[in-house]
Amino acid sequence: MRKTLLTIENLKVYYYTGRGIVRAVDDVSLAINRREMVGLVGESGSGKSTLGYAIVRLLPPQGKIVSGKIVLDGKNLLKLSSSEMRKVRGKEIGMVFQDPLTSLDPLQKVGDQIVETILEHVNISKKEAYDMAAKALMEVGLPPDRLDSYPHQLSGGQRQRVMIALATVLKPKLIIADEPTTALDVIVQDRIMELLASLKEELNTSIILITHDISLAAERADKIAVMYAGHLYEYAPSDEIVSKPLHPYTQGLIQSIPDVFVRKEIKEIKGNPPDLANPPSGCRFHPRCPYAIEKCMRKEPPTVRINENRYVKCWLYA
Amino acid sequence: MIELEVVDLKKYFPVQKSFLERLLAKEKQFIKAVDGISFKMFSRQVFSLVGESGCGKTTTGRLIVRLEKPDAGKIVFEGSDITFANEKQLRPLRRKIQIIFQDPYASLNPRMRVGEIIAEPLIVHGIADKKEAKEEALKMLENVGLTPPHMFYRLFPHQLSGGQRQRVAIARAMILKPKFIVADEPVSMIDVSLRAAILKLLMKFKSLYNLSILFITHDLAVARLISDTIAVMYLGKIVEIASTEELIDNPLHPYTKALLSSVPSLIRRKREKIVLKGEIANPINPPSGCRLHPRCPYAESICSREEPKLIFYGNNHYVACHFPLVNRRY
Repeated sequence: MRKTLLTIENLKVYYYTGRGIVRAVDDVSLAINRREMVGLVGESGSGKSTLGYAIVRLLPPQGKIVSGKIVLDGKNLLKLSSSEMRKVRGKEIGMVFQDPLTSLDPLQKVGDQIVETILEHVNISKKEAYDMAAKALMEVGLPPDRLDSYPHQLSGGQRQRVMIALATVLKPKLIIADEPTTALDVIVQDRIMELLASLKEELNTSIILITHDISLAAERADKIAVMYAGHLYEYAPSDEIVSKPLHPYTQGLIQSIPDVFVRKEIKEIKGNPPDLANPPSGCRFHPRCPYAIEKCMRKEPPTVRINENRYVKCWLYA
Repeated sequence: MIELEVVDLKKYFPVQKSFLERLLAKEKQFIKAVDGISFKMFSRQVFSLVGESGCGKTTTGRLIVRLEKPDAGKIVFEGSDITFANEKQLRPLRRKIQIIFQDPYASLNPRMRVGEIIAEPLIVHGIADKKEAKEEALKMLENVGLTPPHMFYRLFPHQLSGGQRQRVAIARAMILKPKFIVADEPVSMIDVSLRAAILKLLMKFKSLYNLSILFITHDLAVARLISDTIAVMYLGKIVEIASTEELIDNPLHPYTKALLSSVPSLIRRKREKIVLKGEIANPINPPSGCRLHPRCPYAESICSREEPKLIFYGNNHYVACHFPLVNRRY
């Protein structure tokens, strides 16, 4: 079995809108190992969610994968037919979204929704599927009698647990969690993250955690990938990102957030995120970068390999 | 000097009943949003109200600026009781007390130009004529970093980013040179990299006008950064008040400790965790005694019977708990 589970190579995802072409994900490459949690971190409009949805090929109609490769366990997902892709979703890749209220069917009991997902992918009896669903609920910390509940009868945290049960019931190789705790309060958030981390170990899956909160990623993820304006600017083990961020944007991001356990001054990143229909030339961060030189304006920086686990896309290191 | 004193403040919201429930003459139910809270705020201080959604922190802020009418209790601002003051009596007060809302997309009139939004309070309060108001608004635009001011004056809110809009909201709140600001989650809808600038702007006005700020937030990290004192709320009650460092280093209430142990931090240190069972109870029928007791790992029988009072524990520290975590202190 190879160590790498997912490889993304030179992926470009563009939105064709009335305002022009929006280069939401522009030439992004990334590899994720088995049993690894990777935090995909960025602000709104950085392309982090687009990247997540591109992997499962669930982009909105204006969104197109222009070029690149997405290889899951040796299989190029972009070469699959839509019916083959449907089999991958749910079975090989589980998904957890920010708002479980909009992604669960309000008219269907929780148990029926999980059973439906199971039967779509595995050829077993309904009774067996129910047993599986009950077990999945217990694994996410819900009593099995919740199978008979409708989504509105559950609290926000419980609904997110149902989403996670739904995403993990078929023991996928990869879970994509898009801001799974953003709608929840901190105490519940912490428990949901704890659950995701323990499921990762138990099921041997990899997790892509899409989040705007670099502290959350730093606490739970093995590695962090920092996106800005459609580019992947830094990819490194979480500890190293926190203790020694290399990219000026990552440095700025870490300086800009307060921390409950540290007395520190915070500093904003000057300027505003760019309009992706009309991105800055060269390095897209250059108008906000304190170290920008003339070259940064002209030429897009290369992705520099610092060591086996560490990459940064910046002229400072080229 | 005490700027604001709140004593046993209460606000209950009636629960909307269905037609059937009305026919059956079911008893009227109330959400006890704020259920008897007391605290004092000193002038030129930043006092943070921290808690999870539904704890009553926003309602408390709205009561203090009198956007809501209290049901009981007392609000004393600069020595005068404003609890039940009518609109006419409130008018001079509205100059001194301003509020900044969470959502900069909803709090600005979309049909007015940015400059007019900022100038309007001066005209409404009869402080300046149109020309003077414009001058002041231009100065204020410069002050909040929206430059060149003449360009921003003419723009509409939809032409601005979230961070810029929140700057407009701050400019409008500050143009009357208030004494007291309620800031209700002013940065939670703003991109991470821009939050620091908004917080700094608030602090700049704080020292410029000798402001007192009631800062409402769910984010303990932000509260730690800017406040002198933090009060933690749970289900309509204040469970703990202390100076910022004291509260973070030495939480006495199990709920505060649970919150602190759940906040994500860049320091990946192993933290002693308090795990609370279940989720926040229903504010319509809150638990008897201490409202945390069904979830608290330290609860004993007294906790379900008797409501703990907010008691002074020394070092500017107050806690409402029958079994505070004091043993950790020594």
